Amino acid sequence: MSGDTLKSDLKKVLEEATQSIKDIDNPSDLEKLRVKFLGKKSLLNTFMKSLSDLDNEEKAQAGKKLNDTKKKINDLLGEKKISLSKSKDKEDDSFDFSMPGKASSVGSLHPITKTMNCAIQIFESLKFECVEGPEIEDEFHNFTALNIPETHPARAMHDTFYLENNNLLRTHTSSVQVRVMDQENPPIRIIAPGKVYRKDSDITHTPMFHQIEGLYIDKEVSFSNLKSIINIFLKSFFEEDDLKIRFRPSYFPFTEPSAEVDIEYIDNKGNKNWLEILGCGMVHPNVLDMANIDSTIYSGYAFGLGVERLAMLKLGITDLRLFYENDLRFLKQFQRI
Amino acid sequence: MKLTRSWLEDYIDIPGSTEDLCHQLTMAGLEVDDISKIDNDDLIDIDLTPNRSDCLSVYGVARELNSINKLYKSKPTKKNKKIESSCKNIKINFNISQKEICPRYGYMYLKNISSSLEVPENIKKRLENIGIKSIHPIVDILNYLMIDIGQPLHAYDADKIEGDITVRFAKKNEYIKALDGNEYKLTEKNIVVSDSKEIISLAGIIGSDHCSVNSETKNIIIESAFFDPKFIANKARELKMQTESSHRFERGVDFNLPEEALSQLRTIFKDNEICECSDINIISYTNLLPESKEVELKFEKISSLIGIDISDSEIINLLTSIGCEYNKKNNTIKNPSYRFDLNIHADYIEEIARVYGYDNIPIVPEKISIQPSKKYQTFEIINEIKQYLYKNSYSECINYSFVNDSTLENYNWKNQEFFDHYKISNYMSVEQNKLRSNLTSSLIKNIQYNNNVNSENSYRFFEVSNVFGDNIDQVLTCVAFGDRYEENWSLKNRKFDKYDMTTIVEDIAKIFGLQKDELDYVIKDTSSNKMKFIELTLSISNLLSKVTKIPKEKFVSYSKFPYIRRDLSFLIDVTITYGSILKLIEKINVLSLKKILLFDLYVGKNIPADKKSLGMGFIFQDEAKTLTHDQADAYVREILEELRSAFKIELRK
Repeated sequence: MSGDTLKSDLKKVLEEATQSIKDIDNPSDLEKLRVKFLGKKSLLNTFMKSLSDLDNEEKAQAGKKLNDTKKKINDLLGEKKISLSKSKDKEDDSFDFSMPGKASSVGSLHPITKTMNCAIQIFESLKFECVEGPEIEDEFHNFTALNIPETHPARAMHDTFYLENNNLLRTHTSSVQVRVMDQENPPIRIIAPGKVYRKDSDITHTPMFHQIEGLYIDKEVSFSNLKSIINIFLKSFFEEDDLKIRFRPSYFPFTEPSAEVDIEYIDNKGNKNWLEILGCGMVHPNVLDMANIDSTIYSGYAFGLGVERLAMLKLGITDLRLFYENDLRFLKQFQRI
Repeated sequence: MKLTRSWLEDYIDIPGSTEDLCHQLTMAGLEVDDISKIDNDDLIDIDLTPNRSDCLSVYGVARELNSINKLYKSKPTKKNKKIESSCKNIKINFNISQKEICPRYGYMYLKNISSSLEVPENIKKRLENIGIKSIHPIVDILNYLMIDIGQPLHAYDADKIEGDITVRFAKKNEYIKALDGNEYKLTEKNIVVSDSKEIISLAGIIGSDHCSVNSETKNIIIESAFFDPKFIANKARELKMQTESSHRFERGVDFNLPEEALSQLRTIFKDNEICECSDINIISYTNLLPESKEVELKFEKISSLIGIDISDSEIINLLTSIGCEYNKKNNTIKNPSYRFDLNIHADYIEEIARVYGYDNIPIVPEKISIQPSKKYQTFEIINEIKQYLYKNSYSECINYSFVNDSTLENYNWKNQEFFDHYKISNYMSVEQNKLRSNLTSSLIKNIQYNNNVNSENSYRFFEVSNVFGDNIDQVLTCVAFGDRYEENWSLKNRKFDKYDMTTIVEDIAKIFGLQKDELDYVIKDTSSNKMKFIELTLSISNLLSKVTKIPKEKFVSYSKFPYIRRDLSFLIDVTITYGSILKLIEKINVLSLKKILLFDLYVGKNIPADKKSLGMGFIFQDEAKTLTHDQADAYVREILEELRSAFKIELRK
């Protein structure tokens, strides 16, 4: 038998099998077909036996074709078996696969929560411990201990909500740094997620928003370590190994050197732009000294992430105010785990 | 800080494109916000951080560019010509009463200003391009020089000044009517310049209206001073204003500039034949000028903190390139007079990292010892609860912590009346003037909003947040409205009721291995705008304190023998709680009683109004042998007797 005749014979067998399987409407007839096309006495098995007449190269090729055909027939039989079993149900109790179920019980998690959880999980996998601090703070923890002098603009009434008892609503989660450094000795490796408040309300600002603060203090912590952790976090958060990240010198009273971190993003028109995503830096020695941590022995880095900004970028949300409107048409878009 | 490329080119060569230049500025910490074309020139807008007052001038930015990249070669500086004075000094005495606030004060007298005076064309153009309005030819030239080299200057109408001029602290309740038209009440912390009669300027911030220069002004006194930043800082902001001058003085102006500025001014006046100029007068208390601090360099700390291999000589080169002086003998470094931000060693580390280039600093993973991370209870507990609720048809909301004066706000989370709110003293709107003491009102608002815009037959919302009542508590609140189930084709629907909330409490208790009674919670219904809401609020703070104390999970073996079930249906007073029934049965202490369940509760038709009908199931199982039916019946009789005597129940047939 030559390779060419085998090819056309196989084609015929496959066609015949396809048609027969299609016509069958009950499981027992389907079993008969299986014996006919794939059983010991089947045509395919006969072909298989005749392969020994061929030379080695031809044998290999013909064998492969035979096996392909067998597999195709086997798959067709399998599919038919499943569809027969479904239509059997239909006959029995008129169960309709296409019907909606009874009431669904999946609600939704707020995108801010989802974004925070995602970030927290990444940092926990990087061995950061997650801690909390109070939302009502005093000047010392929110400003003084963070090396923000009395004359600093942030202390002015127009940026900070003050309460009648002279306390204030924390303007950043950095205040948690101070509380942790008060209570623990290095090494300290924490993140602090939470709500923060600033007296600002327009298209790009809400008077309440969310931040995640990070702090690592140990011997020999360096700016190059900070670059590393931010790189790992951002690539992991945005699930993009090739994410372009740049560090740019900036100024914060509680870190020195300070940096703002930009990521590259491509806008609707295909233009590449840099977008500021977070602020960070090496903990200022004054901050360490005020917390009674010896800045000649220890060093550390700190960073602050804006959760809304991260959520908007990741989920493609364009209007900040949607977060606080709590419209179900918005909330229900976030049903995935 | 706005400037143009061509203006920068007065000071340095710019071999590349403006985009390249701006990229380098940004990467050096002088973030360029915007580049735009104007008059065949490029307008550059730099967003300066508050520590970089040295770059609040075109010259300063050029100096910075030259120090970070030698491609920006500096051009030879304009030599100020020796200029003969063309008029005599004015006969006024200048008196600095507190020398530390103003250790250097320069002034110059201008005479015979023509009313048809015009600003030189190139100066006019440049000011126009960076968006500075023209006020008066002399003032425009002063503004120009401030942008150019960074020294704020002020012009007084000399003919309006009476007697001597004094720089001093303001007296209590003194006022200034400023040239912006506003009147400001001053405190003893404000520094003022005054003549013998009144205040002629708020030092370094704004001049008085009375002595300001206008088109009729004939003679002028120019002030070119150094005010110590710590006396100017915050002063303008406290008066709710900011001027180009205060912006610079509070951040720090090079104390070498006052004389230089007056000298350049004379050159401009002379070259453009603007007016007659007197000699330059400088009052200086050199020992009170800010001192450059000598800081010892710790090379090892520098390279280890940044995480770079850098030689001592490279470090010294980097610092001298930005104008610092290195003292080899003492191994100390000293800042230039224009860098107010360089004081301590960390400031120099930052400069080295910045000039070295953040891009050039390697990425080095940290070595952390691998330890099991401590579980953060609050976060994980809250997350478990959120996951449970979200998988049980609740949607999470996040609302502002601020609320208004609506009546729903006048409760704490325990549903007790509450009026003692945390109030915000500088709120933005009355709608947000205090901190919320419950989450219910926010969630009800969310439902009412959604009910107006969405077509659902029911809403189930929850929020986890701090509430600010008698205590600050972290709580979970669930609010449901409408039908128990989404509209669907088969399930018989019904309204939400309070027992639906009981289920949530029980489930949460189970998830954390607790009993329902151990949780601190409130279930209630609330009506608002003719809508009825079912609410559950549960204290997370309380849950957290309980969870930390529960013992670890342990397996308990169970009976291998068959169980027997007996049911009882009976009438009982409506007022008797299910809990008290359970308590009673528990007291009987039937060891084989494994489980009690409630399969029916009925009130209404065919039953007296003060009774309810309960259907209870009892599962009996012995640990050691097969239980007989007789034994089970005996147990049930025992239970029945107790119930009868305690609650006077009546069995139903």
